[in-house]
Amino acid sequence: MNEFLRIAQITIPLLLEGVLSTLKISVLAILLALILGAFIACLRISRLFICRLAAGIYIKIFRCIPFMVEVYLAYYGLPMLGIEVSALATGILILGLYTAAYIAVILESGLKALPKGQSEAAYAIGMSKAKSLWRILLPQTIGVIIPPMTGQFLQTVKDSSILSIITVAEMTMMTKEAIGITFSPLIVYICAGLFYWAINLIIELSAKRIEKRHRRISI
Amino acid sequence: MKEAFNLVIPYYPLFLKGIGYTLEVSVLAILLAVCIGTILTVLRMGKNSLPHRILQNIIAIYISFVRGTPILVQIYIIFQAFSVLGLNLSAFTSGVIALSLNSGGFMAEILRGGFSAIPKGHIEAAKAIGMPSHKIWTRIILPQVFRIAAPQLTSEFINVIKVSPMLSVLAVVELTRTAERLVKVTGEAIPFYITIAIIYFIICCLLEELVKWQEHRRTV
Repeated sequence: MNEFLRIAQITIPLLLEGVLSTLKISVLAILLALILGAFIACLRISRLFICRLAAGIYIKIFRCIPFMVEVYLAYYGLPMLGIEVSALATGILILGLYTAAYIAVILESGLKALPKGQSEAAYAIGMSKAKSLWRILLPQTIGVIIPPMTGQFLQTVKDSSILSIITVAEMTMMTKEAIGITFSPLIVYICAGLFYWAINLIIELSAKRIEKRHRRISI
Repeated sequence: MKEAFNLVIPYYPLFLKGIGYTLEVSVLAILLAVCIGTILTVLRMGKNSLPHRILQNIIAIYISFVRGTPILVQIYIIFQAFSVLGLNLSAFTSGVIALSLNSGGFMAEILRGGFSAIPKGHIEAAKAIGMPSHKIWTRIILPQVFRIAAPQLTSEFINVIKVSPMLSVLAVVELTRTAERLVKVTGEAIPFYITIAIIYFIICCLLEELVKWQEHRRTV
């Protein structure tokens, strides 16, 4: 028991540091992904074939290659392209690009699920396309896209663990550091698992609340 | 471009071996995951007695944990847990077990979705003609569940292939680990990683077409 307390004393501060870093990375990546994903979703529903094609290729590439391989490609590829950034920035960038492909698909299916009359009506009263998207279409999709969006955010938090392979100091990396001090990998990894679980449960519960409130408003 | 090509080509037997390993790990994991998912689904449905409720809660916690933690951490936990228990399993075995335990949790959710799509009348009819409950499962419910959930099952297989690179942290020499080794030997990173990216891309695209075909067949 004493042994366990000693390990916990060393592990928990390190892991808490890791939690903060994981959250920071995830939030930045999600913000990047939301902006980029919205842009790609707009391309997907555009009238120009070339835009739809380009967005489709982007989505296909990022969804069909394992994230770990993408991380390696970004880590070794960016310096070759002459972009010298830290591992942290590389990690956030690639996580954002990867998540954007998934968010684009979610947004696209949300927009396509709306009845066509909505955009036609907006067009008929003379709204520009951007305005109808912003004021008419997007607010209506929110109810539909919250559950898959939450799932995607959870996935992003989980995927950020892979960034430990390029030495980004997020939670999984901190776990390794804690193991280096305590020499008891199993307990430390279980602690890390519990921390991740806690983060994800918090996100899930708050998303459920938002969903509930949104439903109440729309009724 | 040509240099990179010349660099990669001589190593093609290693890549083929890596592809073989990746597929082997993924197929084994998905088969085990189907078994785990089916057992969890069967255990989750059923009577409303106290032991049953406890069991259902345990399963719910298991699924929540599996879905709420990164697979990388799960792989490490399984690997360390086996060595603490004194079982000296190879990296390959514990990797397959970790993947299948993870995927089994997702599988249980998929199968539950399929289960709820079965018309209740089928089960009632089976009960009415006096089928015992294990026969209802094997002859009425599960065949339909697997048919309804076929596209999602294939998607889950794609997911397993996409997380299999993480087994490289345990030194399972699948496709990604092969590339990592070659990078260390040759000192060139990008050509090898691009090669395996293309290989994964082709495998996943083909499987996605399969998903589309299955969905199409279901709607027709």
